[in-house]
Amino acid sequence: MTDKIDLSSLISAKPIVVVEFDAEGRVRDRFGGFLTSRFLADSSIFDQCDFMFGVADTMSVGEELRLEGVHYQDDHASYILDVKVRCHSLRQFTMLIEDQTDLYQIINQVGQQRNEADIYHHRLARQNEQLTLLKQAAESASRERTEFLAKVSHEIRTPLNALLGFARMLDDTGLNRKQQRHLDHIHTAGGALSGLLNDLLDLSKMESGKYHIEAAPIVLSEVIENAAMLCKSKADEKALNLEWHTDPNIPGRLLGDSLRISQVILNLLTNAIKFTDEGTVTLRADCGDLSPVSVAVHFSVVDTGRGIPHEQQSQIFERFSQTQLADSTELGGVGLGLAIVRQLVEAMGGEISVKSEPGNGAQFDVLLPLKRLAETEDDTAERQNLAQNAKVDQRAATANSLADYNILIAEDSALNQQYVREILSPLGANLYIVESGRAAIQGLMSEPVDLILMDVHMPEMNGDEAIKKIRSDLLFPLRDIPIIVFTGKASESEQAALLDLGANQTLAKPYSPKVLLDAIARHKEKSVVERLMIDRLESDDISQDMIAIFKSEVPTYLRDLLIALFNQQEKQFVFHAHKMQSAMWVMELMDFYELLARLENEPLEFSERLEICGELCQGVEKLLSPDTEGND
Amino acid sequence: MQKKILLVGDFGVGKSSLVERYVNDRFSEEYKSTIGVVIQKKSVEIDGEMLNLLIWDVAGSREIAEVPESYYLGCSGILYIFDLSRPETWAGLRQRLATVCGKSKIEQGSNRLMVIANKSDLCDENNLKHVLSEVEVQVDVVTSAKSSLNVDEAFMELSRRILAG
Repeated sequence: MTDKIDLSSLISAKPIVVVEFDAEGRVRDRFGGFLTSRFLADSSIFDQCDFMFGVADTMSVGEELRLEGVHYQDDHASYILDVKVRCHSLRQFTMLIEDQTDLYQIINQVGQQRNEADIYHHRLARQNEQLTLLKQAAESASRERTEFLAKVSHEIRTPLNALLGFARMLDDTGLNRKQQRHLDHIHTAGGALSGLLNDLLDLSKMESGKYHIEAAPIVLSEVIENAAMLCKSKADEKALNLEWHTDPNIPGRLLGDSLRISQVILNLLTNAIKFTDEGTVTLRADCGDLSPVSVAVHFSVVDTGRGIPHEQQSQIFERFSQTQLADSTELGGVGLGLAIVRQLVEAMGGEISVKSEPGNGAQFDVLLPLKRLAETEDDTAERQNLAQNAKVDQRAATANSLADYNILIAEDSALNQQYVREILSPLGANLYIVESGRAAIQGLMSEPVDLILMDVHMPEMNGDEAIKKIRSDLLFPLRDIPIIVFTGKASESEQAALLDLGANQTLAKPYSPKVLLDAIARHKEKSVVERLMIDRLESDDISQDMIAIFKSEVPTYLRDLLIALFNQQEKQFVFHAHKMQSAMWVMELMDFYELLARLENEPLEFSERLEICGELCQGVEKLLSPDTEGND
Repeated sequence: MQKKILLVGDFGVGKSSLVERYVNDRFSEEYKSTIGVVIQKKSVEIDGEMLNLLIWDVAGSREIAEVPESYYLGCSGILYIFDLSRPETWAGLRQRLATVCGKSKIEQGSNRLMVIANKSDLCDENNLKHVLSEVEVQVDVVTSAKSSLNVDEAFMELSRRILAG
């Protein structure tokens, strides 16, 4: 009874009620806060305490327990209660009930928001996981598609190369008009197929991110002129005027990717010629905003063709847009070119736009920011010279004789062998044809070779492995012979890998005779130029001409000496050793002279000769190295 | 005869919806989180015997250890509920069930602790197979409070097991 009084005084102003009940939950007495709380005095909670069912059975005398947040609903309202129960005896309990409805409603709102946020967070995380999986699957599919395209391209390009090559040769065999017309169809269809292959490969490379924009020194006037020259024959075929102009205010020393810029210009020019039936196609490169470090070059290709309908101008840079055009069937093409052009321009940080009035031609504008290299006083003159030289080189490349030029061709396809043979033999080149990388290496040690043309895929030893061995295992100068690699896939990463291995240049199949001859001419000239540029041997007593001749000739002498050694051709070996002695004596290189004298005069074993030749090769290499100081 | 049963599980798995469907045959899309415990009653007849169920719908909690031990006092059976559409509600289920057993004094492996996979309406057949194969323990009943699928059956089965035990 004392407890009752104490509790009553404590709870008088609070929503608390104290109930006594027995183990079955029947209420024995009640008093307290229900008078001031929202509880009704006759609430059924005090008639039967369901929430105590089972609970009371587990309690021992004197034990207390707390039940929080018990929901209770009667006919009038619902409550959330905190209940504190004390066991007085097996059949007597005191229950302190506190109405916490308001508090729990606040907690509930916060909790609900937290739970909803939690569920949302988990759903978001799961969606992210699913998106990641989908992204990975899409990337994997894209990779597979790119690889598939590369493989198919290789398989198609190799025979296409032979087909187009032989078709070109047929041009010069005196065909009648009908045959010539059929041959023209082969050229056109083959060219279209080749173009489509290139476009598909470019697109797949862009999608897979396997292309990069280079920043190398370029001469823009050259890029413009070369692109225009490549399109001139197509313009001539349609009796169109093709004009091109480079603004002389454009700085001469720029950094850019000449290959990509050419690709953009060629694509726009080809399109312009395709959609123009009469009149002029004009290519311009004008100088835009100029700063000490950069210049905005404004390229424009303007034609007098049929123009582009207004409604199609906004979609013209989308993929396959050309298939939507009415005359696409007539003119061919699937509309990948301009999509590629836009991607390239944007990748170089530029913008492209088109304006056209149907029936009045079209104008494509490309604004390209290019970095400037430091200017020199001679830039303008140099620029003009370079442009002039480029023209001369181009003519020289086609007209150049390859007489006495020794070319090793490593190619297992009989068709491609014949194609190369028919291009190079009439120019007087000495050809040595092998069918594997291994045979190419053996050939280098048995034949005088000035240049190697190497296919990548060959039996026994692939081209890439052969290049690696040549560059790492052979002696100077054999290991420095220029190598041009034919590649069918032409993917940038593969080209880069081949160049890293030591190839000097890659040529994608199919290639035209002109492209091949230009490449050969470049390496033929380059080797001479490089030698002339070496100024290591300058001396007061020896004339510059003599030095130039020495630098030019001594690697060849050395090569011939090695070949004679490997072929065990005694007479030739002694002859070349003697010949080199004279050169060394004239140049006052007496150490080398002594070594050569031993080779000529002493009865040495093969291994001894090899050792001396090795010493000689290393010495000459060091002598010709631009890094070497002083004169031996 | 009167028996106390508990529904426990993560928040938002549909415990209150199952009780509401079972007791009042109602369902609401609106989510209301439960604070504390809501006690409802339902009388069922099992093999001719009347059973008054006191159903304790306990507030959901990520950590099952957070459920006050006093709630479990005197309970005869438990329905552990998880949401088929939320993997986090069945992750580590074996450990969670062990905690429930520890608090409720129901022996581990007892058939009076039933595992219910709820919200089958959010799961197609393939997904359902996948989820059931991923869950660490044997699922006793697949339910949907929304469609009423197996709701009565779950409570009845637990009642039968309680009476049999």
